[in-house]
Amino acid sequence: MHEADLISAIKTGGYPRELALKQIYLNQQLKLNTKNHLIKFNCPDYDFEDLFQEAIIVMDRNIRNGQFEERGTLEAYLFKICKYLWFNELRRNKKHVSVEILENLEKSVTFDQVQTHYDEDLLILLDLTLKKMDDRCRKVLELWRLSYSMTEIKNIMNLVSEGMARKIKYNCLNKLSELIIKNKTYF
Amino acid sequence: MEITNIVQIESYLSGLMSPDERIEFEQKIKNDLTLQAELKIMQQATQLIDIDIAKDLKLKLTQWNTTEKHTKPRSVRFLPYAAAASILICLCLSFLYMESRFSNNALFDKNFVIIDHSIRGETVIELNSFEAGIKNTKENPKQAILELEQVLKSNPDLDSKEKAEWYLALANLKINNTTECNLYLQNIISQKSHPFRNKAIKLQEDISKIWRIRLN
Repeated sequence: MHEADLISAIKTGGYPRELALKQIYLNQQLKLNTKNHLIKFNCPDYDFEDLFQEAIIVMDRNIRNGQFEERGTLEAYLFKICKYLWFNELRRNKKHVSVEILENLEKSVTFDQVQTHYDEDLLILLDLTLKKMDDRCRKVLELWRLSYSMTEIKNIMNLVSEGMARKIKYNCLNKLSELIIKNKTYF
Repeated sequence: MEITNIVQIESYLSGLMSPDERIEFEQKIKNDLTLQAELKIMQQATQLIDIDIAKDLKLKLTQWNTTEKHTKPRSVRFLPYAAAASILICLCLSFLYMESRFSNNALFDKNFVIIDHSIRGETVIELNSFEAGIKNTKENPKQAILELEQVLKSNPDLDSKEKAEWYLALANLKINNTTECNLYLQNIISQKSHPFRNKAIKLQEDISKIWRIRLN
């Protein structure tokens, strides 16, 4: 798949998205290039693997949400995210790197395009709401959010009709909203 | 939450509304506190689902990584076997090389040279028996051993005796009777003036080499 096709597949969601993400993630050359870039900023091997996964997740979300501007290459974008993630990691965990490296990183990272860490309250809310729901609901909502069509949801979840898939989706969304309202009182 | 509200909010959040519909909906939100609250809840709901998706993707990435590691390096998994096989082949080849260079047969061929003895003027019977023994050493070593032992028993002259001892050692080497061969060689080596003494010493060393290789 070409880069434009990969982006388009991620935007389409569903199976094409998964295929595109797999292709990007398992592209050894891309991984190696990104790694070589990050080595300059003292990023060790054991941190890189985790960082690269996190970057793929951010890239996926930003492409789906329309935050990715198709001006540069995907590799450059991925590297930008990695650099930001590494910079954040260095700041948060106060890892030992020279001031010069930290300054270089700070100068080159762009802060506004990468949301990597979620609000702690939101994570607690996740445990109290979505995670409390049955697997079927969670799966249907996830598929819906990933732009799977109702036909695809019907097939994946072994439902009798698309109408049933739509109904389950609304019911689950409603249930999730109720759980959010119920647990909002704690925050 | 009303289904109609959910549908509208969903369209609004997904950017599926036309500009006019969008303006109209935003106007409606301003005047409807319930819709405002529902929009916020829906925003949070989608955020929560997104976190779940991210966690799910993280799991998938780890899975893909593991699958890739288990499938791709198949050649690497076979590398130790390939290396072991190469070593085995090398050992076999070197053994064959050593075998061809240092086997009893090879040593025999290296040392077996027919020495002309007719000028010595031995008796006809002795000459025939001796000559036959030497000639047979290569083609029929067992027969040669019998004939050469016969020569020794007939108290030949020193020269024939020394040659017979040497060829007996070689004939025994040819039939892989290394123990007997060594006895003859020891006998030759013990005789300082024996004309085949140096050859016997060399042959004994070569035989020792073969055994060292085989035992290692």
